[in-house]
This record gives sequence, structure tokens and C-alpha cells, in this order.
Amino acid sequence: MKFPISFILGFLLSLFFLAITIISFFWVPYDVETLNITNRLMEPSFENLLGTDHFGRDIFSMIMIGGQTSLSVALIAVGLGLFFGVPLGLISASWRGSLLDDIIMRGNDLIFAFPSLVIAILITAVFGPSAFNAILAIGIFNIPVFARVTRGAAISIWTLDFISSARIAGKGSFRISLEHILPNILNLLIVQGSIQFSLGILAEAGLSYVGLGVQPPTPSWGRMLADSQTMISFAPNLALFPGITIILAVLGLNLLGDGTRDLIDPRLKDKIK
Amino acid sequence: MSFFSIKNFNLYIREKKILNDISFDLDKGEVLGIAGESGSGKSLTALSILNLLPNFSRKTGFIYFDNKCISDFTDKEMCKIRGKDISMIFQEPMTALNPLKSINEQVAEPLLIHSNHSKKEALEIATYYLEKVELPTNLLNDNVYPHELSGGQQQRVLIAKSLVLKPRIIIADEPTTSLDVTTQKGILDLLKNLVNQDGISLLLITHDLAVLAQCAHRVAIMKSGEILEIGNLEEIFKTKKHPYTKKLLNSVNYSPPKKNTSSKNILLSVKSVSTSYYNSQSLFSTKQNKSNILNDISFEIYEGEIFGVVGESGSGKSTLVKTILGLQNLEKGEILIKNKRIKANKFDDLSIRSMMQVVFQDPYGSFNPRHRIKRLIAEPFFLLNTIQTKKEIDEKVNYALEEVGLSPNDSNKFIHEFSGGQRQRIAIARALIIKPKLLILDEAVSSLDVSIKAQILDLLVELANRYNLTYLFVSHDLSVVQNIANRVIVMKSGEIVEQGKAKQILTKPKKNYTKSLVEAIPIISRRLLNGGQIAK
Repeated sequence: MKFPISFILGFLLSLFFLAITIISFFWVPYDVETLNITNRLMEPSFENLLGTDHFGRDIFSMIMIGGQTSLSVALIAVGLGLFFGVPLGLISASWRGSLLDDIIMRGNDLIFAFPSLVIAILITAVFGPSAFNAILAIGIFNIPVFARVTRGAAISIWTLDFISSARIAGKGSFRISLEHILPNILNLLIVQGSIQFSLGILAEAGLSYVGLGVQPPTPSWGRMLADSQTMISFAPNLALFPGITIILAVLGLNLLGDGTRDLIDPRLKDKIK
Repeated sequence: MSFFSIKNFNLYIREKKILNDISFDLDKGEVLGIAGESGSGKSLTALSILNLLPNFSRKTGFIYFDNKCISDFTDKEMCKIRGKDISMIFQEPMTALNPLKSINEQVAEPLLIHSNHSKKEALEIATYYLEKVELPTNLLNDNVYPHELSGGQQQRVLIAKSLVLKPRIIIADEPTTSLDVTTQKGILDLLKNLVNQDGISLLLITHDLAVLAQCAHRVAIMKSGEILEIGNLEEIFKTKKHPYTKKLLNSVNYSPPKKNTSSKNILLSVKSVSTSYYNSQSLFSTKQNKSNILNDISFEIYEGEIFGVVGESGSGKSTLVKTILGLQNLEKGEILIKNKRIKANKFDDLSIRSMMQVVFQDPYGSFNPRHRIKRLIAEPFFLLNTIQTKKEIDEKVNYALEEVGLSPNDSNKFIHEFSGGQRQRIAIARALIIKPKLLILDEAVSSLDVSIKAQILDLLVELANRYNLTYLFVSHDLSVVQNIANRVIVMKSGEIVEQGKAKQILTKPKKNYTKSLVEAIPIISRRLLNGGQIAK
């Protein structure tokens, strides 16, 4: 079997960030919680691969540990969205036009109607700032996104003839949703998932920026980016490296998503070169 | 010399040869028909003339128009010719009109682009042409939008749009394919008259040889990118020099050997069935609009017969199929199969459902693109209570594939690897795998090319005889129904107009509506086919 080039590239990028994050649990070049003011704002060198920040902490080590927060927040938030959003979308598609559909979709609109940051502030105000609450806040806002995408795509599949012939074969809407609808909307969900993943990393950065995400000194990619902004004029690498990390991680996951979509679609198999 | 000619034209797309050495002339006031099955390159020939080709295409050869070689023109130069000197009519009038603009505005559009008329003048000219294409007078107002028109009327609007700049050539690509027979006749007559009156040349592209026989002066027969023969209509149709032409002409109005029926056992009885659609019940709306789709329909189908249902679009045929299959609720009446009642949207009694299966029209939408053929065909086994081993299922799938003329090796492929005709065979295999009593064929051969259609009809009759199957054959195409069905009903706006023996109804119709349907079928007259001799 031939793998599409986007899949290989995306897989390698994602693997790289996953690897450095996992390694960071056991080993990092420098401890990120000890301050070393004499070494602050160093240029990239052999000792400090990507330089140091204004407290003299090694940026590469911070990126490694920051991945723990950023990746887990984004991944779990997407997972939450998929886990609740997709079934909701499938249910309202198979009962489209019914009261149940209305209730689910209006519930969706209700969540959409609130600015996510305000709800996040509310959640953290009640439960206190932590990574877990950030995940919860971001994840809740992923649910209606996935429910809407799923419902729209599923409804268009429901009108096709092969669904009628499955119904004639006596299959109920639960079985049809699982066997026929889900595989045919998976490509959309994968693409939407990789978009929501990137938004998740950015949302965590936003929450951390207003002090509602992970608490210092634990680093996260978004936090590093936020902290660097006052020093952007004389220490641009402080912003540059976490920025590039976010871009590459998001790019990697998008490519992985695109590649997987092509890989699982039998129709595209001949066209992949 | 003709004012328009194509010489030794070749077209390559991604370096694959699509059109091979196309050459023909077009005279003033002439109707040249290009006939061919899907994939023969007839549409691309038309698009080549207007230089509306897809990306990655390369062409060689010459197209002359008015002593100018337009095949060398740049896109900017072509824009002056497109729509002005050479205009085009497409197959789908619904998608060719902008739903947000009124029809006379859309007809006036080419005038505003290509000439110096003021908007008011342009609209007046547009109205003149809308009258000319015989649009009903109540639709000639300023604020008529495409959705208020029927398919045939929309096609008339598009013809008016292609006429406003007094073109010298009109290219019509399957202009009547998506229309009903009665509408088709009107559009063809209109095109014929325009050519006679204004001396416009018409390039008529169609898969339907009977349509060509009605209005073309000359015909070109195309196959896989080549013109096999070109010449006078009568000459081509009478001599049938090329074997492919002969094959095509023989497939038109193909009549498979009819199935004999003697049984008087009723298999399916539809008892005064009525249904209507309500607008969807929304959370906040209280009023409901009701529209009748089926109105007091009753008929009976005997075991082993082929029962035809004929009607134009909107006659309620598809709704009838859905109600019989139990996919749609009945408002009144009941449907019994072998004296058991079919309940809509209830899946408790699978034995009732396993007595019937269906083959749909669209060979492309009828299959889940992500499942292998094996799994697609085995889906109806869900209806049987007996649990079967994997081996048993595999054997049955392979047998079913062989039965419809495919190979067991195909069972591991995906559906996109098959052509339209093969897909219909797979659909038949899927429908027959649980040996149902009743097979519903919902326009099952309508989207197939003529030669493939003949093969599928043969296969259907053969299978019906072998397993004593009963068919409910639904189609808008009277000629096919006439040739295959034992008895038919003719439907119009949800009601049965006429019912009885197929031969009787379709040769000696009693009701006016049936008469108009029968008269509108385009036929190739025997005189044309047999060179004056009487058919055997």
C-alpha cells in the first residue's frame, strides 16, 4: 500500500512532537523550574539549543514540557467534542425534523450563543484555575461544533439510495448510522478534528494568557508565547520558537488528518501518488 | 465551403487522447446530430468548439468559423464569439439558470454584454424572444423567477437566452434528456422551427437516436472519441453500414422476449392508498400545509407477472414505490403482500420485508462507497433470521455475482471500480440474493446507455423466468415499459388514469392523457430503419 506524502509528513511531524513530549516526562536538558538569571536571554547555542528566556530557563526544555499541557488540553478537548458531539449529531440527523432534533440543535445554539472565554472564566471562577478546567471549558465548546458538522453531513447521506436499500434490508436507524453514515462522514470529522485541535492549542494559550489555564511556573506553548510579547523587540526568539512549535504541530496534525482521510477513502486510492 | 468546419481535430487531456481526428462541416440552417453513448466524447466535441475545455488539455487540428481559425483564438477573442455567434443550451435547465434573477433579466444578459442596448431595450427584446419560445403569457411579466417554471419552461427560457443575439450556430447538449416525453416533443419542435425560420445551424448532441430521427438532417455516430460514420440521416439509418450503428439502432426500442404469466394468485394488493406530505413540524410553527401525493390508488399484482407503472415526473411514482417498500407512512388504505400488511417504518416483521427488494435508478448513489462488493451484496441477509457462516455467505455472494454476469473475483472490489451498467447488475445481485418474491425496479434502466439497457432488460427477463419473480417496473419511459411489462397502470398527479394490458394501453389508449403520452414517444419510423421495406 502506498501512503500519501501528506500522511507521511504529517505522521513524522506529529510523532516528533509526541516524542519530545513523552521524553519530557523522564528527562529534559535543563530543569525549567529553577531560575538562572545570569543566563537570561541567551542566543541559541550548543548548550541552550533554542536560547534562554528572561529568567534564564532553557527554551527547548520549556517547549518539551509545554507540550504536555498544550497537546493534552487540545487532544482531550477534541476528544470530548467528538465523544459527545458526533452521537448528538447522528441522533438528530436520524430523527431530523422531530422534536428531539429541535431540542438538540437549539441546545447547541445555546452553547454557541455564549462567548467561550466568558464561560471559561465562569468555570475557573467557580472551580479555580487549572489545566483540567481549561480542558473542560474548551471541550464543551467543541461539542456543538462537531454536532453541527455531523448532523449536516449525515442528513445529506440519509437522502442517498443506499440508505433506502439498507432500510429495506430491515436495518434500524442506529445500525444505519453506525454502518453507513459514520464511515461516510468520517473524512469531514477528521478535517474538523484537526481544525479544532489547532484552535484548542490557541484557546489554551488564550486562557493561560488571562491567567485561567495552567499556572506558572508550569510552561505551555501558548503561555510562552503570551509571556514573550513584552520582549519581542529585543528577544524575538522567545516568541519565535513557541510560535514555530505551534505552527508545526498544527500543520503536522492537519497533514495527518488530510492523509488519513485520503487513506481511508477507497475512491481516492488509485489517485494517490 | 461551409461556414463552419472542424478539421482533423484531436484533444488530449493529461496527455490521454480523448478525441481522435474529428472532422465535420456544418451548413447554414442545418441540423447536425451527434449521437453516441456516454464517454464517446460528444460533449467534449461541443466544448472544444467553444474552447471551454478542462484544465490540462491540449488540442491539435483546426476549427474554422467564417473563414477564421477559431481554434487558435485566445480566451479573450473567444468571449466575443461565445454566446454571440455560437451559443449553447445545456442538459440541466434547473442548474443553468440563476435562481435569484428574474428570467427576463437573465435572457437580456447577453444583450447587455455583447451589444449597446440600454437595459430597457434589452428587456423588451428579451420579452420578444420569450414570446417566441412560446412561454405562456402569464410568465412574461417582469418578476418571474426560475423556480416558478417547470423544467420544460426553464429550457425554453434558456433557448430564448441563446437566441437573443441572433447566433449563427446553437449547440444543444442533450437539451431534452432531463425532461418528460411530452415536454421533450415541444422543445424539439421549437428547435426545429427556429432552424427553419431563422436559418440557424443546430448541433444537436444526444444519446437518443429516436430524438435525432425526429429532427436531424445529418447525423454523426461517435464512439470512444472517434466519428465512426457521418452522413444523411436516412442513409445512415437505412444502410447501417457500421456494425456499431447497427448495434445502436437495434438496441433502440429493444424488446426482450416477454414473460408468460398464467397465475391468478395475488402477490401484492394496493387498496385505496392515499398519502400526503406535510411541511415539517417545527418547534415554533403550528400551521401545517398538506399536499396530496397519492390519491386513492388501488391495483393488484399477480404472482410472476411484470407490472409496469408509467407516469411523468411528479406523478407520484416514487412515492408509490416508497409506500410499498414501507419507507413512507400511508394516510389511508393498506398495502398487502401475500395477505400480510406492510407497516410503514416498522421493522418487527422481517419476513414481510424479505419478500421484496428494490433496484434504484441511480447506479452511483445506490451503494455505500466505503464497503466492498461482498458486504454490499450481503446486506439483505440481515432480513433472514437464520444465522449463516461466513463461508455460506461468500458462496452465495459469488453465485449471485455469476448470475448477473460478473465474476466472483469482483467481490473484493469497491463500487467505484465499476461502470454504470455493472453497478446495476450488482444492484440486481443484491436485490435477488435473499430470493424475494417481488422485485421493484424504480427507473432501474433509465440512466443507462441504450446498448447496456438492452443487456440489463435481457438479464431481468431471464432471471424473472428462472425464479418466477414478480416485477414492479416503474418508468417514465413508455417504450421500455411497453416492451417488458404484461400489465401497466398510467399515473398522473397521484391518480391512476388508465390500467390494463400493456399492449392494449400503449397501442390503443382510451384516455386522452395516455394518448398524448404515447404520441410523444420519439420513434424511429420503420420506413427509416428498413429502407422502405415492411418489417418482418
